Amino acid sequence: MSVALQCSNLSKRYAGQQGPALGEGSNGISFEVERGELFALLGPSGCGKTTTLRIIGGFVEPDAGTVFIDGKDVTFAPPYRRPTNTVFQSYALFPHLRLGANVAFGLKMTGARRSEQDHRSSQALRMVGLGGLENRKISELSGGQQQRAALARALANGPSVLLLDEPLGALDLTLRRQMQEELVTLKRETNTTFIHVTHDQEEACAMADRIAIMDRGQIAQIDTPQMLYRSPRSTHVARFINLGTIVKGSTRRDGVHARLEASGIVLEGRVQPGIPQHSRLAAVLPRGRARLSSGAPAGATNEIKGTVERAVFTGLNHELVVRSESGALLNVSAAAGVFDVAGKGLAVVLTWSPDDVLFVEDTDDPQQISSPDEPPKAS
Amino acid sequence: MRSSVDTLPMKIIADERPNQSPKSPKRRKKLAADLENPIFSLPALAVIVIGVFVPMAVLIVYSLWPTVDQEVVREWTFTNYLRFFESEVYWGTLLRSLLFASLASALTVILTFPFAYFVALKVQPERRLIWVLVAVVPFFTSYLIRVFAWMNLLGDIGLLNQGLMYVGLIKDPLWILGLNSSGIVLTFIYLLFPLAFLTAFIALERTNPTILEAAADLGARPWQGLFYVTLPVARTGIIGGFVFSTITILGDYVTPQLIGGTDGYLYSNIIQRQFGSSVQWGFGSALALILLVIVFVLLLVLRQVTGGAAQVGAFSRQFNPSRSPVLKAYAIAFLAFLYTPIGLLVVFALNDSTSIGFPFNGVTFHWFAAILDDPLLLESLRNSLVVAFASVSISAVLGTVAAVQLARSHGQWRQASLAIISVPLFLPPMLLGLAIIIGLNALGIERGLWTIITGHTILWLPVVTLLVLIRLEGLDPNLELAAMDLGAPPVTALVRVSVPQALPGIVAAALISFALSMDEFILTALVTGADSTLPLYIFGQLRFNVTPAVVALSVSLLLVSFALLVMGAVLATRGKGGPSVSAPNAIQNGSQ
Repeated sequence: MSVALQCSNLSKRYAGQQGPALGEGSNGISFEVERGELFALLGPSGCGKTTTLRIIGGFVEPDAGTVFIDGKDVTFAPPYRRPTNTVFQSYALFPHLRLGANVAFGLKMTGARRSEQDHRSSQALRMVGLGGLENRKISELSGGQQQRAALARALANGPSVLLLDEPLGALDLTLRRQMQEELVTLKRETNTTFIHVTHDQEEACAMADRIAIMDRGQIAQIDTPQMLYRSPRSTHVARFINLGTIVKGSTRRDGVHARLEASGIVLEGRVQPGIPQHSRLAAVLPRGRARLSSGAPAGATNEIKGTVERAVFTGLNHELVVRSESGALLNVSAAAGVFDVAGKGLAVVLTWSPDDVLFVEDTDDPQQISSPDEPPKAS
Repeated sequence: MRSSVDTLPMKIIADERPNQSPKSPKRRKKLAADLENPIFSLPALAVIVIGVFVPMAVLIVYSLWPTVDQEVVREWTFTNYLRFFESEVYWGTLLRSLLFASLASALTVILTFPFAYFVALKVQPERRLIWVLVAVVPFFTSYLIRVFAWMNLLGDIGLLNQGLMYVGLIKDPLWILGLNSSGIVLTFIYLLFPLAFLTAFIALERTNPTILEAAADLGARPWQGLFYVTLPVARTGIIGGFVFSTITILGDYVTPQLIGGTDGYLYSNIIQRQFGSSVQWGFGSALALILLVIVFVLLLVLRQVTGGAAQVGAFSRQFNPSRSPVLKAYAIAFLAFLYTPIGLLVVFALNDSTSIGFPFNGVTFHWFAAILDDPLLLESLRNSLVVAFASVSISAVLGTVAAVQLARSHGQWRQASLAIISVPLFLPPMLLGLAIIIGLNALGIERGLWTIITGHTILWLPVVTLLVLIRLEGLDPNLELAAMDLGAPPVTALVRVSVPQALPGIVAAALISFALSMDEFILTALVTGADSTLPLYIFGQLRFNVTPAVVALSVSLLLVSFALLVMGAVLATRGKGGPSVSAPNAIQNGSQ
């Protein structure tokens, strides 16, 4: 495996905007992507993921930091001198050119011969399932076809790194699922490195080899999808992947273990690896790992008594909102077979094993935190 | 839009009220159907057909009748056309005029494009409207006065040459800044800039800015991006600007002569002379028809090469272009080019001197007061106001009613009606004026102020109809449905919901038309009888004795049309800002 893309210490501040879009001062973002890897940049609006992508593509110059592609410094190279191609969110297909000419555009710019252009563009079109449609006008293509056309146009150039800017955002759910699979297949077939920007954590998990979760211009965590769910590092990550309930209170850390008390709730669990010693901590109660019983409390650790406030049947699970005795709201899922009568008002006891209570770094803005007396918020 | 009551979405809440409406459901239905009745666009169509198509037919007939001893003889013949082809003076002048007009138009479009590109793609969206307004305002100042400003600037003793010689940059006057062909081209670039700017700007502004990034992403160097993407995508605007500029120059029989003297003797002058001193109406009609054919050919060319570049898919208006100091400097220089002549006029109007020009002797308002001492001027002003009020009122009423109907109709009727109503927009006003006087002559009707009003009504009717139609069609059709769902009969829905929303459009169209009417010269000079209007008065002054009072008058007019325009623009854009009805083409996208 070789490194296809290496971003070091990137930061960017747009003129006339409050706060930096990416990084902060000398503290920029860094990551490396292996050849053939599908790397997702995941985060909410304004977290800096699109800025990162635009810096890699050459549309924005970083204030500091470097971008290396295939070992070459391209930080200040214009887009037309980079081995990258982009699938734009709006597709940005040329409305005055037919499909074939759109896909052949990049080859034409590099001065490839006509026969070569035709050959490689029809190859790229076949690859995305649009073979034989070379003479269609762009306006005659459906949304899904336009998406594929944009993909074919970017791939026809044989880029070293393919950049995808929320490419599936405009498609309906069925089509999106289908395209997710096709993108992964294409990546495997072409052995191209994909950088995929999205705000949809399901999409990122379904496609990416690794995910970088971004938060306010910083990378909060880089991991495989499985590791993100098993071991989130911060409240931001846990909340963004909708892992479960975040509980805040007074915490005491003891090596890799920690204990939290908040309005009648006592939680014990593991501190996630890589969290600095003096960080503020919060506990995450994963929604899927709660044991539910309607019997009397057994007095075990991590036991919370409550009543079902709301129950939503999603087909596979019951998604429950449980109000604890102290008034806190907790989100839990229960497999449909296990827990059939999830009526409102039902008294339940929720238990988490100490291995499943995850202590993470509390990265929320301190000014927006509720005071410890208030019931913990379900997120 | 079907707006009869029985096709409404089902009412969610049962209507338990007793039937309060005095109107029976049948009556409601009838009113709804009425709004779609083509009868509403008939008055507007009738004005255009009677005022344009019928006179054009008369023009054709006249062109086939010979003129003997200044009388038209009713015998069918091609003599008039043969005469055109036999004498090099005529076809040679036409060729020369065509060449001249295309050259001036091409230069205008080329020089304007970087400016339009800058405003459309390099200026922040929220500042774009200001740039557009600033660039277009000179378009709404008096045409003749802009020409007059250039008469002062150009020539061997013109301000430009004198100024350059004064600072020592040149020794002898430059030919290029003279009152000759070169000066005419310069003046037309100045006059036609806003037209070329708007057409290019609209085409560029409607394109997805990301396709330029996409071009670079796919390996296109900046010049490749320009030739393979930017220019092809904006070609409708570029060629449109070129064609309309060419048509305008071909139909202008005033500017070339005022600036260039004998150099400015163009085909339009030959036509005009046949209806004036030569009294060769048949021959003049033939010459006018030849020009009409050329205009048609130009419009056909435009139709052929444009279209098909409609925007595809949704795109975001996200804005972070690269900076371009060169383009910005160019844009600012261009603005200076636009405003210097106007600024000079203001200086001259305030100058305490009996002649126009420098040195500046101090500020006086004497010349503004002098305007009121001239009875002919006041008479002309009164006439202009009468013409503007009358023609704009008629156009506003007929145009709005037609727009309401057209907004609800579909298919061929709508296409045909729109095409007919738009005809005056595409014809040189000179041809309209000629057609009208020939029509009146054929019927033996005396000309008067009302002929000017008629001519102006024909000119502004398409402006009002199209502007109101655009506004009405920009409204969410669900608004009226919602009103009807809440119990409003269709007419009430229209009057209470749609008309208030379209009102800014109506008022803006009326204000713009009013400003244009106060300034119209080319058609007015042809169709007038003995009456004078302000532009006619100014024209007389320009030819004989230009006093600082005329300049003061120009400046006053400039201020008035400026005020009207700003009011119109503010009204037209009010309510469009903010997150009102989301445009289907633009995704609000804040992701970074």
